[in-house]
Amino acid sequence: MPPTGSPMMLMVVTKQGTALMSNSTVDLAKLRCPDCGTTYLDFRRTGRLGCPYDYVVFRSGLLPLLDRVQRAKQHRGKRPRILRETIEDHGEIRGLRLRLKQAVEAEDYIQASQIRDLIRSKERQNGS
Amino acid sequence: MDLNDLATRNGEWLRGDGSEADIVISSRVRLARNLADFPFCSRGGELEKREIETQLRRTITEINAEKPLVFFDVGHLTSLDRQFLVERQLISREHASAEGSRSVAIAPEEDISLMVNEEDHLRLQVLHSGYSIRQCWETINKLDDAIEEKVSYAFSEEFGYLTACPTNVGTGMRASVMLHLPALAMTKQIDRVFRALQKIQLAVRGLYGEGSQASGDFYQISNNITLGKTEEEIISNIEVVVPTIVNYERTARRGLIKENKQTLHDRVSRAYGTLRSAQTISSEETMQLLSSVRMGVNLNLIEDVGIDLINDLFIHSQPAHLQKLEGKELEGEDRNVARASYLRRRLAEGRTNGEKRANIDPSAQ
Ligand SMILES: [Zn+2]
Repeated sequence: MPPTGSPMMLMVVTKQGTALMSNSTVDLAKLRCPDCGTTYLDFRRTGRLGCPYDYVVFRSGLLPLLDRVQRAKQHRGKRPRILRETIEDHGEIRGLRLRLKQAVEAEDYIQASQIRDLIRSKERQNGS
Repeated sequence: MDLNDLATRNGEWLRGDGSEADIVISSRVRLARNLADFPFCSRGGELEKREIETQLRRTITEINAEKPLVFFDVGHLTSLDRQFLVERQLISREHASAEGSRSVAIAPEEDISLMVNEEDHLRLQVLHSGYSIRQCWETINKLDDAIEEKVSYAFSEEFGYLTACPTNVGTGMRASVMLHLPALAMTKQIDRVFRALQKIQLAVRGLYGEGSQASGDFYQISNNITLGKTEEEIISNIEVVVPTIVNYERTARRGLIKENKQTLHDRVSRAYGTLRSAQTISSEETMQLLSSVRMGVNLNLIEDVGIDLINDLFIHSQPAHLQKLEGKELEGEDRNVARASYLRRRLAEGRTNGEKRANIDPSAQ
């Protein structure tokens, strides 16, 4: 678990599910997936991602890589006919839940309660 | 279906029929898929892998209730059986050598195989004899739809189907055709063909995915890129080049017949002679000689053996197949001796059958 103030705590998950840091330059070397524990450096060493959510967490590092290797950055092919949830909205609530967990562990109860409210309102939006 | 039954047959990909089958050996489409709620296989613990297996096995069984697939627990197979499945192209080398809980579901005709817990949670494969890449895509697309109705795949609006390695992300699709190109290899035009293919983002590999020196002059051509193109575009790209390469190969064969018939005839006859008389022979040499004989049969330079038998021998002379057919484990030199004796026997039987056919033919006229 990264300590308070580490890059993970600065992560905001936007509506598009984009992982952004509050400052515009992302320190890729410090990125770590809160879900599976894979770091960006692990990924660069092995070439393998740890979980689907890594595509959200490491997005800023993946984009130039995909541009180089695949010469594309946007999927144009088939999509599920019954789309339950994409990694983006999956990431949104999941990301909030992780931030909640971190806030609780850091004993930042004010932030925790704010995040909890946010999750509830999102869940209502999604009709779940 | 048991693996020993499979050993005596020659499998879908070397059945030797279908469109352009003298040059296009087989067509294949693979799709990589992952379940949304689990880490990828390299990060997954044994418990998670078992859960993935249970869930996918249930789904696969449900959707194929009428034509059941047969499951093999790859983790519990002997290394000989795993190698056997690799030789038949039913599992990948990575799947054979991976760790932990993993399995494969195979259709009795061997045209469908579904690998569970390879690098991705699910790798679907449809493989047909001859040139039929579009039918492969249609079959696999339906299969994928049916599975998708029952499980939640990891999918992103931006990146498409999410895979453990970003080189597969997007469509998760590899479409490939296996070509037999002995004349292009012999006339040293093959490198030029490859360079042209690389420019349009197609990759070339050997029979079992190895590098440039292709075993038995078998070359696998597949899409390099999985993101930013539709599945239809990927298939079309391959459909554009395959007929062209087939034409090059035919032209090269005609050229060899026209200008170097003696040399060519000598080469295929020597290859045939060696296979019929060798006392010990490696797998690699066998592949190379069979390749010459296969072309010789296609060009009617060898007339007393059928193409089916030659196709058969390509797979049956592979190490794991040979050991299964002989019913015992064979190492190194023993295996080469057994291979030579197997080839002598099969080719002698093939010739007798060929002569019988030749004897019957005139009387039928
Ligand atoms: Zn992760």
